[in-house]
Amino acid sequence: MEATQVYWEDVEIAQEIPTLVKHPTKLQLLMWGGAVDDYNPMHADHEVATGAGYPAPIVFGPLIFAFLEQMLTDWMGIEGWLRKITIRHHAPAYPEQDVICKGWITNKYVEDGEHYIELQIQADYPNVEKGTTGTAIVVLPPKAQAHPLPSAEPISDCMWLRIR
Amino acid sequence: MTQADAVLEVMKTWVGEEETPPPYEVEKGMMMKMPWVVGDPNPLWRDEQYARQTRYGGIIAAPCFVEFLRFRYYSTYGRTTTPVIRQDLPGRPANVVGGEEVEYFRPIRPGDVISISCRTTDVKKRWSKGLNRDVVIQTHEQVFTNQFGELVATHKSTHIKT
Repeated sequence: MEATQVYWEDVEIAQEIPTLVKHPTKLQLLMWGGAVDDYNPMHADHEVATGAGYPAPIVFGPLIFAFLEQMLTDWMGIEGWLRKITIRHHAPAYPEQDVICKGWITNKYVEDGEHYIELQIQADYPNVEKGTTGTAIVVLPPKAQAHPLPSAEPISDCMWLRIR
Repeated sequence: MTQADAVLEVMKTWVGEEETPPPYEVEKGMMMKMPWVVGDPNPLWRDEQYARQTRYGGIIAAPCFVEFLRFRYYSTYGRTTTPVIRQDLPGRPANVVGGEEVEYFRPIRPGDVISISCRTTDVKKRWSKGLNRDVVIQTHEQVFTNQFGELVATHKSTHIKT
């Protein structure tokens, strides 16, 4: 992964940041539950999910949250800082379907010497008018504060499971 | 009295009470595991050789690591006290996360000791159009500070008891 950096001067209001498409699988839900110790059967047990009024086990809301965070950190580069993120889930997502994460710039300003970018973000799921929506605040460096970017080749990606 | 009314009556007693699960010593492997589970290959979260060249001087926790930290309260693993959230509510309603807000103040590094303070700040009953019944919405807040007493992150979430 070649190191790139976006600077505060590079972004304009209404500009869209790169879309991130994720595909949460049933396996990924098991991994998430095990990693955070969340064994809520809503996300694994068909009978419990349908008993609660859903057609099938649902994707963890915090996992959708993490997808949106990845979209932001992928875009902002290693010199950026994710300062705040707020989201609301309007409908559940189901595994084995695409979750399409999008964002666009709504404001940029300087405050107490820090260069802030505000964004509108959302995660779209199939067959749902509104999935997850929210806002984020990212601190980006101005070009005057640019640091040299890492030159080392990251270690092999072979440790990663094939999760998009 | 509906199930939602009964649940609300119990949860109202939680409002304002602070709970402090045991401090968590950040494990490097767990720090790296969270973005791995998400499928986030950013080397800043896992590659020391790469991260050493950044202003952080080493790998730092991905933002999603706060999701792991906030579950230290809910999890019974490694704890001697049970969080009040684990109390059986009338009718044993299911729990769904309605929304979250996280603020990040400082990077989290391997070996940091994170103290956690949790509090239910509000509970209320609402009609759910989708589920066609009353549900109870709980707002829960967590504050994370490191071993130097520095604020690292805050987390607010709304939980829907269905």
